This record gives sequence, C-alpha cells and structure tokens, in this order.
Amino acid sequence: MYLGESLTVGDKHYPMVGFLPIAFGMEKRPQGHGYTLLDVERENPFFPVGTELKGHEFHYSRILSWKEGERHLAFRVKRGIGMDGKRDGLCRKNVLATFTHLHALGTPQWAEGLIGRARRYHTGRQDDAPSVMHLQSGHPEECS
Amino acid sequence: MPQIELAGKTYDVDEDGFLQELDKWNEEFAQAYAKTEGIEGPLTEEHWKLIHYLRNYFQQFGIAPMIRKVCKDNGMDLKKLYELFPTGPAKGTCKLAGLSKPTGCV
Repeated sequence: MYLGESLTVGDKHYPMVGFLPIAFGMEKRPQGHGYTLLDVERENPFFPVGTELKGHEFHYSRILSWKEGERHLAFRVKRGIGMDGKRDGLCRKNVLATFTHLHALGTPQWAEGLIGRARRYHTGRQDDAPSVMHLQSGHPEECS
Repeated sequence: MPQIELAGKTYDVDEDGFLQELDKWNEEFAQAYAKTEGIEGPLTEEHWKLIHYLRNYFQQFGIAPMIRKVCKDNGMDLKKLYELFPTGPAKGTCKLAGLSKPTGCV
C-alpha cells in the first residue's frame, strides 16, 4: 500500500510512493480474510510458473482504482480474494506485491528466486561499469 | 466442498468443519454440533450467551473478537471459557456459533 498511488481512509486521501499503479482504500470490515490457494500463472521474480502457493490473507484494504496501462498479475486465485477476487501478485520490476502472505518454509522456491535475481543484478553490474559509477556518485540506479 | 450432516440437515463447511455461511446457522446446528466439541447434554444459558455474543460481534466487525475481549465483555476468565467449551474458545465456540475459522496472520 505504501508503494501504491494513494491511500484513502474515510474521507481523507493520502498520496503514496506511486510505484504501483493502484489507489487503495481502507474499509471498516475485512476485505479478505482466511486461507488462500494460488496458482502461479505468469513470470515473477520469486516463484516458477506452475507452482501452487498456500497462504493466508487478512486485509481491510481494497483496490479503488487502477492506473491505465498493463497489469502484470502473476497469480490466479483459486481460494481467497486477492486483488480483485481472481488475481493477486502484481509485479513491477523486482517487486512482487501480494495480499497473500506465505510461510517461508511452505513454498521455499522464493529463496532460489531471490538469489537468482541478486546474481543477475550482480552480473549486470559487472557487465555495465558506468552504472556502478553512477551508483557511487550518488545517482539512483535502475534495478530491473 | 466438505459437508456435514447435523440433526437431519446438511451444511457446507470448510476442511476443519467451520460453517461457510453465517446466515445458514440456527440453534439446532449449535446444539447438534456440541457433542463433537466435547459438550455433553443441552447447551446452557452461559453457552448461548457466548455463542450469541460471538455472532453479534462477527456481524458487526467481520472478524471474531480477541480472546481477552471475549473474557472482558462476558465477565468470564479463560478457565471458565474452557470449562464451557473444552475444545477452546477459538475452535469450539466459533464452530458452534457458525463463524468461519478464526485464522490469524501468525
């Protein structure tokens, strides 16, 4: 939610970071609560396509609107609510945002995915010396 | 989806036996389910007090109350809750009250 476009609580509206193309709203009653079952259907940084994820969600927030543009949602919801009742797991660059949370040992593939991404990033830096110099001189570096 | 038959009626439940729809609940359901939760004989006034309290709270807030709140609001300590519902307030009482399983984040 912090990475979204905005957060609405009651009649107040707060701008957020704006990295994810979502306006969130907080509700008084849970918008999703209980065990979840998801199928990984699209590429994402952490879980191979075809993996089944068993998790849990408990959130009072819901999505009020999406910004125009492509939405890369990696998970299909078989049980639970997720982002819209059908999908969860929004990806952008190296970020995977999901209402479902998982037990680290229940689906350990995330660890391999994380290391794989770190390795790829490291290799990319070695191949691309100027970006290292940018980083050292204080400029933010793109990390897709 | 699993089903359970109680007092001649069939109910949709989850894999742990919790009723899926709050409004399908009735008092016969609670009474018939009581035996499987370790309660012998008819439910007492204290049992019904807790069951109705949980249902009212759930209808208002969409979740089951924290256990400390259950005790405080009903003037009962945890020991008393376990005397009334031997399988525990989260499992036994919520199940008889027709609430969905009170899953937590941790």
